[in-house]
Amino acid sequence: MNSGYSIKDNVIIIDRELTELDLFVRKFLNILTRYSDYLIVSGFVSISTGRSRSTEDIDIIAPIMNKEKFKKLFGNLVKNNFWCYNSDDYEEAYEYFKNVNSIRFAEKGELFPNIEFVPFDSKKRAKNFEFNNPQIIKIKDFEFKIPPIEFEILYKELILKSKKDIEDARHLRVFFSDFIKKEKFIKYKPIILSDLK
Amino acid sequence: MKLPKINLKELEKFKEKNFRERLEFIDKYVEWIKKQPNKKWSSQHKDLIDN
Repeated sequence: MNSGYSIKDNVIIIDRELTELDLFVRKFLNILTRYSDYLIVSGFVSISTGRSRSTEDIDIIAPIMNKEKFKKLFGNLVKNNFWCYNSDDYEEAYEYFKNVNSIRFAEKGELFPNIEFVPFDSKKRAKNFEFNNPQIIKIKDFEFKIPPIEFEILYKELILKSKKDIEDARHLRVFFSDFIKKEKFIKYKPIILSDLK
Repeated sequence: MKLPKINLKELEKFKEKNFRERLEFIDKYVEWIKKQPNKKWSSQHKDLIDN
């Protein structure tokens, strides 16, 4: 029986076709990774593993970077046909970002899909943990980082808790039923709940 | 205009049943994925996501 995925060197390999959504995310990451580390979270995680729904945005978290680096990133995104919802001016956009407010990028002339670029607050234990313990997913030649699968499941079930999130978590639980480990759920739960305090 | 009478308890039960069915569908969908060649399920997934 096909499991829908395979594991090689701790990388989850999903044997499927790349979608237009994947190509959009890949284009953004090819630029972002020149300047910053990142983690893709939320809806795209389950969609990339075959979940039968689409999304209008892809959440990508990144550490707060200095203004000079942000200027280069912003300039490169604009040069490569992205625009920023929040401002055309990198300095204005940086004001949002450095104050831990997310900013959005889409391709010029489009609103959807868009990247919600989320600076992460290093004081948040859960965010720190998932960022420093990524799981790599590979689809054809597209590799990207997500939180550990068990972490993503618990975050959706315990923190986000919308019907859509519970459904996403269910998909991940069933799709990765042979991969997920009970001891990781036990380990991650207090880390995730610590951010509620 | 006369408004229809809505039984909120029944509506709540209906919503819960609907949500359970949606979760059961996810189970069946993943079971289906695992029985198909990757090319087949992934091309249908791509059609859904790209449209």
